[in-house]
Amino acid sequence: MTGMKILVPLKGEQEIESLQKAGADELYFGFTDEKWQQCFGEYSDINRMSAFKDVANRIPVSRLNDVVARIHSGGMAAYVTLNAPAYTDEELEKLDEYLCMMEKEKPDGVIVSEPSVVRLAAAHHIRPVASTMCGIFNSDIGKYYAGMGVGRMILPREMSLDEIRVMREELPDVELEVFLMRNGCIFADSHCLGMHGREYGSLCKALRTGPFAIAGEIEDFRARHEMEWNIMLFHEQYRKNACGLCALYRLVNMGITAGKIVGRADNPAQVAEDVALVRENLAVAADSSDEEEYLNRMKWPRERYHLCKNGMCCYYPEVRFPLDKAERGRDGYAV
Amino acid sequence: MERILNLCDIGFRLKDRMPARELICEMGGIDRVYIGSYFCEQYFLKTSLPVLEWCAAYCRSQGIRMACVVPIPSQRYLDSCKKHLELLKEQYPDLLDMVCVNDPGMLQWAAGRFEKTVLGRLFQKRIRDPRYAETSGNGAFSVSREMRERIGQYRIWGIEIEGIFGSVGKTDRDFCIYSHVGLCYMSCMRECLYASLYRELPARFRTDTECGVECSRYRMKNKIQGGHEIFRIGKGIYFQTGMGTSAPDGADGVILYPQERW
Repeated sequence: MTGMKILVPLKGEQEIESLQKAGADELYFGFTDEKWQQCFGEYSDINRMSAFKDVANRIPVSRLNDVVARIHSGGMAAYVTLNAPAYTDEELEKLDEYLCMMEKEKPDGVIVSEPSVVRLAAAHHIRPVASTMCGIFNSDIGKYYAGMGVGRMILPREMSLDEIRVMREELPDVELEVFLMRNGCIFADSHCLGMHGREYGSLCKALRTGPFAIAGEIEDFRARHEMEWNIMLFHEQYRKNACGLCALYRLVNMGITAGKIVGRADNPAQVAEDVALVRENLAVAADSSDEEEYLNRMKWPRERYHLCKNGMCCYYPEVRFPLDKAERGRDGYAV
Repeated sequence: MERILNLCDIGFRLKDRMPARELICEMGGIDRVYIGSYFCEQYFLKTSLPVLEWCAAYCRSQGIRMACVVPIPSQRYLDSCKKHLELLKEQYPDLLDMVCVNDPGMLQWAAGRFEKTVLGRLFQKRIRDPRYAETSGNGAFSVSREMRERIGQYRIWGIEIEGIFGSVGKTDRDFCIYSHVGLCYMSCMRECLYASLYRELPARFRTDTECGVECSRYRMKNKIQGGHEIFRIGKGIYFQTGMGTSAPDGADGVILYPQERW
C-alpha cells in the first residue's frame, strides 16, 4: 500500500510548526497584496479566498518566498494558490510578476484555476496543479489539462469513489488529490461565482439562512411536507461540515496521491486536530488487511455526533450508506 | 440581432403546458431554439429528445434552427452524454446545426461534429453577485486571453456571456457574442435539491440517484441581503439582472429565457 500525503491549508506562517507536528505533508496557502487591490479594485481576487481577507489569507506577498522556505525547511511541500475563478489580461500580467518572484524559492506547485495560468506557471518552470476551480469532473477534462502539462489535479468534492477509480485508471500518470476533511460546500466549487466576502458572507450561507418560497405542484400535504423536509435537511444538515475518513482505505488503495483538508478560514487548532486524525487513520489503513478491518478499527472524527448521520456530511457516503441498485442512476456504477 | 429562445432546464415543464408554436410566437422573432441543460446530465439525457420533438415541426415550418446545450458531464455520464448528442444529431440533422458546450473536454470532443460550436455560459467565470453592485452591472465585456486562444484553436462560432454588461468590444472579431438576458447564472449544484424527494434519508442529495425530472414540478426563490431575489431552477442558481431583455451594445444575439412561463 502506498502512502497518501496529507495536504493542509495554511492561514498564517505561525501555524507551520503546529501543522508539521500534527502530521501534515504538504501545505497550501494564498497571499495578499495591497497593490493588487489598488490596481484591480476591491472585488478582484488573487485566489478564491481573497475576499475573506485576513480570515483566510494572512501572508503578505512580501513574505511569500520566506514562507515557502520555512515550509521546505520543515520537510513539507509548499503549494501557492492562484485560483480565482477568472483573470483579466492585466491580472495575468500581475500573476506573471508573482511567478517571477516565486522562482527564487520555488514552491512545489501553484494551484491554478484556468489554462492561461497553467501556461504562465509552466513558463516559469513552476509545476501547475489544477484546482477544483478547473472543474475536472471527467477524464476528458482531465486529459485536456494533462495535455497542457498539468501533472496533479484536485478532483471535485462531489465525485464518487467509483468515479475517482475510473479517473485513476484513465489518467495513470497524473497525481490525484481528493477532498478528505472539513467544510462541505453545497455548490460546485468550479462554477460558484458569488462573492466570498466578509460583508455578506458566502452565497450558500445566505441561501441556507434567508427566507425562501417554493413554487410548483405543492397542493397536497404530502408533497409540501416532502419538499419542506428536503429543504430543511438541505439547509440545516447537508454538508454543514464534511468528512471522508471512512473512504480512506479505498482511496489509499486506489493510489490517490493526496487527501486534502480544507478550511483556510477555520480555527488552525481544529485543522491541526484533523491532520492528526487523518495521520492516525492512514496508519490504521496501512495496517488493515481489508476495508472491513479498517472500518472497524478507524478513529472517528471529533464531531462524530453531528457528522456521521445518514451520509449528510460524508464526502463519500457510499462507504457507510450504499444505495441499492434501484436508487442509482441508469449510468450508476456498481458500488 | 439573432434571437435565441433558451429552453434549457425548463423546456420539459413548458412542453406539457402549451404548444411550442404558442411559446415561440409569444417570444417574438425567434431565430433559434436551445434545448438541453447547462447544469444537469440527467435533465439533458431525459428531456432533450422530447423537447426537441415538441418543437421540431413548428421550427422546421418557420426555418428556425435549433442547438443542443450540453452540461459538464460527471465521469459516470460522460459516455452517455456523447452518445445522446450523436443520437440527437442523427435524428434531426436538418434542425440541429449547433452545439453549445460548457467544458474543455466536451469542446475537444464536439468541435467539428457540428457546423457551429458555441462556448456556453459556464466558460465565463468572472465573479457576479448582486449584493456587490461592482460585480454585476453595466460594465464592458472583454474577451479573455484564454477565450481568444480557444476560439482560434477550435474555430468557435460564438461565445455566451451573461446579461450584466452594458457593451462588448466589436473590433476585429470573427466570432459572435450572444448575451443571456433576464436571469444571470451565479452558481450551481451538482447534487439535486429536488431529485431525492420521497426517498429514504441516506439516498437524498446524492449525485448518483436516479431522478424523475422532479425539477419540472418544483422551483424555489430565495431572498438574500439587499433584498435581491435568487431563483433556483433545476440545479442552477440565478439572479435577475437590472438590464432588462436588451442585449449589450455590440452583441450579435440575445438569449431569452421564458422563466415567467415556468
